[in-house]
Amino acid sequence: MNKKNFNSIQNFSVPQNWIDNAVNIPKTAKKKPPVIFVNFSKTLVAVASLVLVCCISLVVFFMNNNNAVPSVLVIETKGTSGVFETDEHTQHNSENNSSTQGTSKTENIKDASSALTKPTSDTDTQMPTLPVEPTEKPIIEPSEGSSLPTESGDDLPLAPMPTDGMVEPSEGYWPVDPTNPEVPGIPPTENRDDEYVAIVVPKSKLTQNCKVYCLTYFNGELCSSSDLFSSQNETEITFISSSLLHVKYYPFKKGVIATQGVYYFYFYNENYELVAQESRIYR
Amino acid sequence: MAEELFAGLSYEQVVQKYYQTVASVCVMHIKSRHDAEDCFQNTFLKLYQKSPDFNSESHLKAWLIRVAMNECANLRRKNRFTVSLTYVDSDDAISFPDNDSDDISWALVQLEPKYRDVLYLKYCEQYKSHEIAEILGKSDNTVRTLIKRGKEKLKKIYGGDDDE
Repeated sequence: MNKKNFNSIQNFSVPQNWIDNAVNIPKTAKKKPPVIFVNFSKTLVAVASLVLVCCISLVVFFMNNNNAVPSVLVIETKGTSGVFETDEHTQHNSENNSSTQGTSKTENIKDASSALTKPTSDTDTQMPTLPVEPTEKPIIEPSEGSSLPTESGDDLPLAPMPTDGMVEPSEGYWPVDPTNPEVPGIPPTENRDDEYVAIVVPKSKLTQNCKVYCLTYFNGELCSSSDLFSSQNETEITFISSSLLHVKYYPFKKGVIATQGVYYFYFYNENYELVAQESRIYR
Repeated sequence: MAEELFAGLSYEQVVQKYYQTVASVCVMHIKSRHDAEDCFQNTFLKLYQKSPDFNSESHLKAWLIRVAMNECANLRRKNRFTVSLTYVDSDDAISFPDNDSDDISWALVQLEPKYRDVLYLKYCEQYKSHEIAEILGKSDNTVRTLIKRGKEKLKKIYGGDDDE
């Protein structure tokens, strides 16, 4: 009996062009580089971009950390004008929220009372310099023994002006009854230490210490200390936002305002660069 | 640049020596002549591009057979949802005569690939079962079982008796 075989497969007549093409493969085909070099350029670009992104992120992160909060920070809370200082910034950070809130609450209570005697910052910035005459007319009462002057009595001697009981118009531009200083939002006229000149400046105009000094001029003459960095020229800074600052200067408290007239306030940073200027009429 | 050697043979020598083996594997798996040629060329292309290190010529031959089988399997997988028009063309189709009562190549190509491979390696290339297991990455027992079942299936196809 004959054995079965697979001769047709084993002896398949391979076309000559198959063999020729296979032999010619080295002439036509290029050797593939190792896998690590196939995508070398892509890998290099990917790694380089990743490193770049990481570096930029780190730089931005550290820059934000450095500029986040200055050493001295005064935060103004809305509505109550409550102010609490955070001189010890790091200490505040370490404290829990409850203690911080407690501090601000006590300060707010303290400032709520002073808010009665202090104009709000909005009022001051929106209508800063317009003087307003007091609405109440001075009350004139004739003194004893005096006589009313006649309109056409040229020959008659003029009666002396009454002085008793005469009330001078109040200083300042607040339409206020000085006898009722308890009205909220209206400051008393006697103590004007809380009056301030305020400007809003971008933080970029200031130095790293965020300090602003104010020089006051009256009739072209410097009426505050000639030393820019003296305590008389110091201002108070509060933060409106991360980029804007609210700078206040208290001319009465600093003893700069002596007489009536127009005062000019020039705000400088620590590098003697003019940040802003403001003028006020004081009566 | 010195010519690269594969188990002591140059590339051209490898092609001249093993083209028949590789072609047999390809035509056994692929019924289209053009597709079979693609698998044939791809096998030698991979040999040239990858240039693996071979311990011996038997290692080289086993590698070529394995790569040719994989190429055919890949092509079948790729074309499983399509029917080539050239395949319908009788000029392109590879056919094996069935008028010879002893040559049962036509029956072999009708077997499932897993039986076809082990039977081809055993009876055409004269490999032993453990060598087939090494080439195909299967265990020796699995190969023996496949050979036994493949023979039974082959006999059913060509209607033979117990003789090979």
